[in-house]
Amino acid sequence: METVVFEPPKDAATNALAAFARHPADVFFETQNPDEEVMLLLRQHWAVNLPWLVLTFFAAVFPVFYLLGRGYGYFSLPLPENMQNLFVMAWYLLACGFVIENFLNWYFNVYIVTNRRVIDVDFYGLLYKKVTEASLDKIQEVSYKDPGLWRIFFDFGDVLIQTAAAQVEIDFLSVPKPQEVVRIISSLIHKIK
Amino acid sequence: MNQFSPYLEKLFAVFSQNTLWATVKAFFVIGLFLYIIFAAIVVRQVSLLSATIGTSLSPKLKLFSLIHLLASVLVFLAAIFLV
Repeated sequence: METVVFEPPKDAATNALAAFARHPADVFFETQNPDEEVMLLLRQHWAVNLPWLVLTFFAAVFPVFYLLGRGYGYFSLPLPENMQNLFVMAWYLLACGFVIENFLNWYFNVYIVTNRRVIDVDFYGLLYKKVTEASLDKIQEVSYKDPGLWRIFFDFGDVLIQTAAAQVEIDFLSVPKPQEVVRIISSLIHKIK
Repeated sequence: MNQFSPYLEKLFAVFSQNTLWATVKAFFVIGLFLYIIFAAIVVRQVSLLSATIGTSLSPKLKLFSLIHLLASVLVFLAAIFLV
């Protein structure tokens, strides 16, 4: 298989939190070959994080209102004060765990396009990881869909990659600029075939 | 009803209140102990995921997961000794 080599553009992505990064700097993956270059790194659009971010905001401010209310004598739980303080600490600890799990879930669920293949890394919950990949020369069809006002407004959608092997289908879910992703993958396929 | 009843009632009230707080504290301690296990799994998880996908943020994420583990241990100790 011929390897396509591209010069990294001057605007190579350096933001480690980017959901759409062309030629991302300092990114490597477990099964990367020495001559393999990461062309595109994708995560789900940041808008998919809004529900848990809003929940986190309310979880963070709730104890503040409680402590203020207690301070001004409006209300108080029927618990000793040190136990109430422990309750607040435990609350923030749980909120922290909630944020960490959701962030890791978003950050490490990545889609990678290299100059040789596409890779979908999924991890579910705490301990289950699934990596699916397909060579560019095995890809038969690349399409995208962005149904819904929310997705059109924020410009994100699903990219569907159909390979020659019928059972392998890689879906890049809720990624930013799906039409751009399709264009980049199609261009790589044409160059490699 | 005898002359000792009010004292017994008072003693029983103190005893039940202490039992209640002891039960609440026990739940806190058990819950926080389970949380420490969760935090330790997160540390391991970040380490494994960083090996799968390495980025410039990976060292910071590892550090943050360790701080989270340390915080969970401190809250656990606070539940045992300060409450």
